[in-house]
Amino acid sequence: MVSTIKNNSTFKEKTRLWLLDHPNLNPFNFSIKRSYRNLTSGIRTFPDFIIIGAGRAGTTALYSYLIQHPKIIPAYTTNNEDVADLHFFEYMISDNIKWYKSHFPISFSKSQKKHFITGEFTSTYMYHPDVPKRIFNLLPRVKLIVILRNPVDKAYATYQQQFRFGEITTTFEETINAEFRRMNFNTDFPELNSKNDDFENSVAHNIIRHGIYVNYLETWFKIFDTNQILILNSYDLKNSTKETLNQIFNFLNISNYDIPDISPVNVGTYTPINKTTRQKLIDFFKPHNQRLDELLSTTHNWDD
Amino acid sequence: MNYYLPRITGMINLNRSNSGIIWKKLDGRKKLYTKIETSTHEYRNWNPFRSKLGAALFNGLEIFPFESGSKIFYSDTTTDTTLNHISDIIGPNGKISVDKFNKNSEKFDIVYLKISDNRNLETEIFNYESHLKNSGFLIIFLNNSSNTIDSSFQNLTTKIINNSKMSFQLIQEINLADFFKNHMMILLQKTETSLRMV
Repeated sequence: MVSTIKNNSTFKEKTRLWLLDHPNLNPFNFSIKRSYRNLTSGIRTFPDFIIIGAGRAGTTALYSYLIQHPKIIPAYTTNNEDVADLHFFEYMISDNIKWYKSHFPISFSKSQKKHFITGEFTSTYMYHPDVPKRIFNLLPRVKLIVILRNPVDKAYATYQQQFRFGEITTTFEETINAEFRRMNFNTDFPELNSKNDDFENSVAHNIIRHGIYVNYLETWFKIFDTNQILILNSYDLKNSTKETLNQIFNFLNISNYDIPDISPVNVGTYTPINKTTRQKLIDFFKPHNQRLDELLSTTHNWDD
Repeated sequence: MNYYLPRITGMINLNRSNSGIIWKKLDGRKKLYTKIETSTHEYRNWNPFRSKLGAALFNGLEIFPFESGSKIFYSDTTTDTTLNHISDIIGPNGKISVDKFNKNSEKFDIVYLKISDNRNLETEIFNYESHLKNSGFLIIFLNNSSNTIDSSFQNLTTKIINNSKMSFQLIQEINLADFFKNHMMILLQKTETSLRMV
């Protein structure tokens, strides 16, 4: 039965696979700007700050506010968008440091007494278990910014986003029940897990677990100094935007500045969550939120 | 990198000589190798562009029901390399039936199903359910022939899940669009208190 399998791939398919294997030589992927940046990557800087998460909690909005500051220069993106999520430390596109450096500005202008800083944001750095070590090995003094949102709202917003993308096709209740089942599988039958180190990257399959912030932040605090990590609340960013932005500017050691455009960015529109499922999730997250409060010595009013 | 952005990072290994997901040949051990250890073992490359199960692993398949010694019914007879990989995992004690059910058929741990048409969904799921062990797994690969991905896919998957709700639980659904256009995978588990039990 196995012998009936033939290797009858066509020429078109073969070239497609070869081009996927050699992305540097792919003519459809060539651009002058990017090759210039690759050539000059040796004289480019590393980022001074990184926004590491959490997704759907206001990372895109925060980054788009920060890059309006005259002394913050944004990272370059290939998609001609203002915001940069590079996913470098997850080794998603490349693990080459030159590739990473090519996204940041040239460091000569620093010596011309034009003091500036740069940074990037990737909303899934927070979850990947290997990323803290990788960042510390490359950039031990980098400053990290985290925004946290009520995990129930975050879970529902993530579900709506992934539903729009076509990653999920079922209802919210069905998806969270499936995830609870998988969590039970992991405790009852650990041998059935696929043991993929990069599983934490997949947002659509971690809707609930990505809301347990303590488990992730504990590993970050083990590796980085507490002065290097700033933890914000998305409620504060939304309601008292100026004060939180000034707090960030102090943290980054740059002067305060009135950001001209603080309109909301990347907002999803959807029907509100069902009340009984909301209560169920609140009960699930309650002990984890208490542990988070103990870790950060703060109070998050996320229980209503 | 405009042409794809996979959510699982093992992709980077594809750009090298020792690439892809790797599995030890006929070992039966459950471990996803992303790098080759220095040993005398022989390895097989799992290319996600060739195999839908490999693509599902890249896109975040969490519960992987194949084990050494498990018995599988495999209905997808297309020319992909998945069978080789499955046989590596289940080892010499496992068993794969490809063509049809025997008349005195034994029950299977896993049924691997490919559906490209949604007309006979109910009968197909009912047929395969009776040949599956209690708490066995049903893996369905959907191929949507029309080019629109969102609405028709959602109709198809919800139809399958609603049809199978009596005897199956949804474990995970995965979109394979990074590697296979208009493909979707659904992993279901048979409940022990099935109402339609044969």
